[in-house]
Amino acid sequence: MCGIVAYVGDHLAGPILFDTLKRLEYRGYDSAGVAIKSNGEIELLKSAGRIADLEKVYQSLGSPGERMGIGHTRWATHGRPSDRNAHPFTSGEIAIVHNGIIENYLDLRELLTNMGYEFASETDSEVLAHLIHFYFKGDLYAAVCKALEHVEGSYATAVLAASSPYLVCARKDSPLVLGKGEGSVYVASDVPALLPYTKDVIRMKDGEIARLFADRVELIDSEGQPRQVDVERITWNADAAEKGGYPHFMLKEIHEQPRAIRETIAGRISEIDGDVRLKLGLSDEELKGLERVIVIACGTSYHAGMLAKNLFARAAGLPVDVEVASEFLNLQIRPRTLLLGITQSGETADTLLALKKAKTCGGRSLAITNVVGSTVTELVDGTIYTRCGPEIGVAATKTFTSQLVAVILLAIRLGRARGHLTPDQARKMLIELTKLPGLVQRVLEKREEIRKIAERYANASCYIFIGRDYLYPISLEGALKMKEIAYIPSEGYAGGELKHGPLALITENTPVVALATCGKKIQSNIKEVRARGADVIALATEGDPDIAKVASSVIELPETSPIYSAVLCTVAVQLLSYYTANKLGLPIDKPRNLAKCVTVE
Amino acid sequence: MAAGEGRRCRPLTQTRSKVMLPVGNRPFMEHVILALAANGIRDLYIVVGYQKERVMDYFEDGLDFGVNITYLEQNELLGTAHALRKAEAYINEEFLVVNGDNLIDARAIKELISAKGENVILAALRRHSGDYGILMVEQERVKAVIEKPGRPCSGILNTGAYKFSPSIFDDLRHTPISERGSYELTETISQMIADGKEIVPQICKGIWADAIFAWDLFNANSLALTMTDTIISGEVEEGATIKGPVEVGEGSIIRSGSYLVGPISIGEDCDIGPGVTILPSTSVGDSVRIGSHSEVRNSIIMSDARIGSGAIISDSVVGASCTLGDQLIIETGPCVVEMEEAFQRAEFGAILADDVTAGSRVFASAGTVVGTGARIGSGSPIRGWIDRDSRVIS
Repeated sequence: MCGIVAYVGDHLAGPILFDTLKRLEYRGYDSAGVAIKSNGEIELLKSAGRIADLEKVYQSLGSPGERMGIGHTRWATHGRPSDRNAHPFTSGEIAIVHNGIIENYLDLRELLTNMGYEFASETDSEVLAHLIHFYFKGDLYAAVCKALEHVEGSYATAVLAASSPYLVCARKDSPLVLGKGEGSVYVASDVPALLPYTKDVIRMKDGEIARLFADRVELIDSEGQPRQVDVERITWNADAAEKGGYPHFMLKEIHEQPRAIRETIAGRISEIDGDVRLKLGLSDEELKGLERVIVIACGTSYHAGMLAKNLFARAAGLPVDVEVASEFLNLQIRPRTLLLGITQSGETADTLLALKKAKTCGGRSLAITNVVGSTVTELVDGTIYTRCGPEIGVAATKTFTSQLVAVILLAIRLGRARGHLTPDQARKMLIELTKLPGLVQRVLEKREEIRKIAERYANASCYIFIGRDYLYPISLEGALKMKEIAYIPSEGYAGGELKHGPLALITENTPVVALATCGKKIQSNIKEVRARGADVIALATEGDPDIAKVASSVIELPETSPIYSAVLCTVAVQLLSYYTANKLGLPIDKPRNLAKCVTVE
Repeated sequence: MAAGEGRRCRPLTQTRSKVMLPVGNRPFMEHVILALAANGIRDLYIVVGYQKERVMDYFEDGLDFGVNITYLEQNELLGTAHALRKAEAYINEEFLVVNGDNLIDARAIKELISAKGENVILAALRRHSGDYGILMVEQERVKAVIEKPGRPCSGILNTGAYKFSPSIFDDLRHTPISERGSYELTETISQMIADGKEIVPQICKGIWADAIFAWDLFNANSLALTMTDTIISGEVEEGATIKGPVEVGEGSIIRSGSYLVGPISIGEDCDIGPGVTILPSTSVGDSVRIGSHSEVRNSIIMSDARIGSGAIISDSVVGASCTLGDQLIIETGPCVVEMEEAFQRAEFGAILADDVTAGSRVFASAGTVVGTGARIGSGSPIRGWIDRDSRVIS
């Protein structure tokens, strides 16, 4: 889980590398480094800590006039964060940066040690540097090819040699994109990092190796054949990613949700025939014949998957299993099973691996992702894009609500294809859906009210979230947000589960957030915790006459059907955790130990 | 300047400030920003306050509008002079001050930029109801700025758009507090005149328009729509008729049997028809649904609104996310409306703020004003002011 960047071209490499690294900082940030080539020598700078600190060191050097370089921002998986374990790694005149995991690194390390190589770090990546050095006889491209033949696992790598006129990049199961500018070639782990420099990007495919010159890119596919370079023009702007007046990306992204939801549904619904248009790559016959759905996802996406469980059962008569990707066993797969992978980045390693495993057992597959052309889209039969633009805050907000909406769209499509929903039932659901952006806007307008409640309980030792039915996944998501950004230990429970243990946790200093827009049953759960002295913050439908009698404070949400109230509750709990973290003065956009996109297992 | 609410445009400003009210399918301030960008002005400092999130969510960093925006916050509404001081740290050359809640075109901005003089006021010659400052001009210099006279008059009025040199920041520091308890730019200017500084009036020949009350939006809207060209990015089904300049945004569909006469601007992802009639000077936002056999004329329909079948709407504003049932009839004509404890004569249909829900067969008399989130039961006749979040049961 790291970000890598590289540059070759007519400009000074240093400032470009630092700038692109900063744009990748959200991917991980416990150490960083760059290697730049000047006057036929490689200058290496690296340190544990922030990129800005490293940049100061670079500036103190005075510019060495380099035109080529590589850089890395690291999030520790192998080896502690330290100067020693920071990338780039060098071996003789070779310098590399690497993202991914080399599975056979212990074997390779032993082999290379026996050949006399000395290892400076505890990381798997250093193996790659020595291996390339071992094969390097003046042709960098050939050396990288040979070295990679020995590597098992995943990699995105950029390689620099003091005597080579070009850079080499390669990727397998880890993201890497190239950007082509005027007299410059840029490399980064994702597109937004490149956009300030160029809108023309080249996506590398798995197993490809690229030779990068200032004026051209040469791609060689996994068969060793040159591939024509397809340049894709990016139309969205990078600065959609700037904070635009908000103190944090997270708050900005929370406010972007009406727009994001509108984008997710745009052009996909047809009220007049009560159906949803999605490019699933599966015929209605195939959808009709499905017997099960298995959702594979991690973290927040997993919560979106959990919403599918009750929804698909009701709307499409389909039983759903929701699996945490890293715990997935492919033994469960029978024919006529639909696999649904949900991953914001489309690069989540655990989810990709589980989908790959599942595919080998047959079964059709779909993905819900936000990133066009991401790795997951190559694995599946069809993709539903959430289309909400890049998300910079590490805690998922708009991408989550868009995932919920995508799940709802899919449920309606399945329901219609399978004859489980009548056109009129579907039409009513779609009418409610078109109102959702406006309703979310109204929840956002409750921000002051929610801020006051959040600040009142900011010093809580523990938060409990409870919800039933469609709101159970949202209670988990609420607890996750509170943990992620406010660092308050929090638990989400199904309302009915409280009495089976968690009630023991309830004290006067454990506020309970009750998601109460979906049925009356939750009220008895609220009474249960109130009787034990806890304060209850209830999220309830406007004008609900009973809830104020049982809860300590009520946040009223606009009236809608239960499935959409899950989205409204989500927005409210996002604001609650945001304002809690803000009150506590925490680094909301970059919580400790977390990274945006987890590309390691 | 985008910090104020625009109280007299209530109830439309209950959920957004006046700068975000749409005319010609763009918020007032978008017209302003586009006019500035067309004149090569790139760096914008926008003073926000009331409902700032709406402004920031829409314009973000300005890149989509061809400018770089920095937001400055004015949390206490202490007047325009106070607001301008927020920008002091950023400005060290000649600059413009413009209101975000007026309609202004590129030509007017160009006149202001190219006017000679260090301190220039964009002025307009017209008859008005006394809601603008009046400029006393002698020998092409402003001799006095008279505060809003509060009664109908004609003359040279102050549009609130200025060109200044950075030395004004010294004058701003000495602005006296006004009777209203705020620091007003007009006071600063009066003081500059008293100090012998030259203030040049530039009479505006381009487009400049304002809306005092919500029902003044129709004028600004039709003025803004004069800039419309026919651009059909969405789908127009066979059997639909389109005359005059009509904009149809991406993803929108105009169903068969509809009859559209421009100037009309329709946003993205709208579903119009079948058989809907839309007549001139109508703006329709994004994701709007208009059911079969409805007629809309000289109106502003904001985003996410849903209008049932057989509705008749003219000279009206329908706020964002309103849901209006079948056979809603809005009468139009002269009326008297209470606003800020005074009665105003006007002529319009109805002003519906955001999130208003109406059942079927609701009848609104001319001059009806409905607050945010109100719910009107089926079959109800409505008139006059209906407050925010109220329930009307027939």
